[in-house]
Amino acid sequence: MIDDKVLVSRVLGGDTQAFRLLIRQHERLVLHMVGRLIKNEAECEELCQDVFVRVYQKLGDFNFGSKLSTWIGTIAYRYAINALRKQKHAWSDIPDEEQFSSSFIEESNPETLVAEEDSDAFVMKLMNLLPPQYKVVLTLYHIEGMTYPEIGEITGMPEGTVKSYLFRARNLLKEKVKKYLGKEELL
Amino acid sequence: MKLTEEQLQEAIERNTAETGGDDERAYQQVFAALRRPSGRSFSAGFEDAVMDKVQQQQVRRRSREYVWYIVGVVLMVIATVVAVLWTGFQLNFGFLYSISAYSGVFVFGGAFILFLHLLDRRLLHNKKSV
Repeated sequence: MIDDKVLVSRVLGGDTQAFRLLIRQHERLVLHMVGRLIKNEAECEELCQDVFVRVYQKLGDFNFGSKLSTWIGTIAYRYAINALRKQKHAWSDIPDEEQFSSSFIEESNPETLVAEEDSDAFVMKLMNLLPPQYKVVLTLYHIEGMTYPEIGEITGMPEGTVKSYLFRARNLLKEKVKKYLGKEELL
Repeated sequence: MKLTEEQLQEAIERNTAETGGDDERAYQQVFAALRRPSGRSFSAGFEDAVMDKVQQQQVRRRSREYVWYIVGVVLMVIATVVAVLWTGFQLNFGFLYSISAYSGVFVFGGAFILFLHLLDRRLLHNKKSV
């Protein structure tokens, strides 16, 4: 894999093939980041294109203070939350912890969610019901394999908050899955 | 020994949990699902679409710069006209008559600048390119 510094200098030198390579190297991260928050596929793809256009415009300002992927992830994250805000989705704080936890675990019926799909799809559907901040942290940690400081840099959250969101999100999913497992055994 | 939720999550992550309880089973299922990458992908023309957008932006930026350049020139002309009218400035080349007797100085000045330019090109630029 080509070194980030070489890649960036080639892009800045006007090499379009290098920029295509940059897109290919980071499209998975951008898709996971944006796709986790924006459900509409066409809108998600449009937004991901805009993320890479922004990357191209701002690449000259990138000073290698972090990894290129972290910097691109930050742009993708900001675009995704701005899009959520435009859609009038609530993006302020996490809802009241206890109230949210009990409603998440108790309210919706897992059987209606699981339908005929496998258990992984069931967990992913549950994940989509979580607040956006939890989804982002789970995605970056588990799918992208990022560290707490990297996630903190992308999302602007303190490292402690990242750890706490990750713990709570996994705990909520576990409780819901446990409830489902119990019902499955009764069937 | 019963593990706390946090310890259990860490143990599952490290693959060292051996409690065999419901919590562990549920966590195993959650972690396995979270590790699986999503099946979503971009359409085939994604890169081309990005490149098209970049080009469109560049064209737009160039035309914007061109517009600002024209605006700048027009404003400068207007400012000059206003300043001339405001101050009643009149162009007078009379000062050239007083120094016209020293044409040799101008010739020397021109030749000296050319000489410096030549030195710059021969010495400094050649060194930079090595």
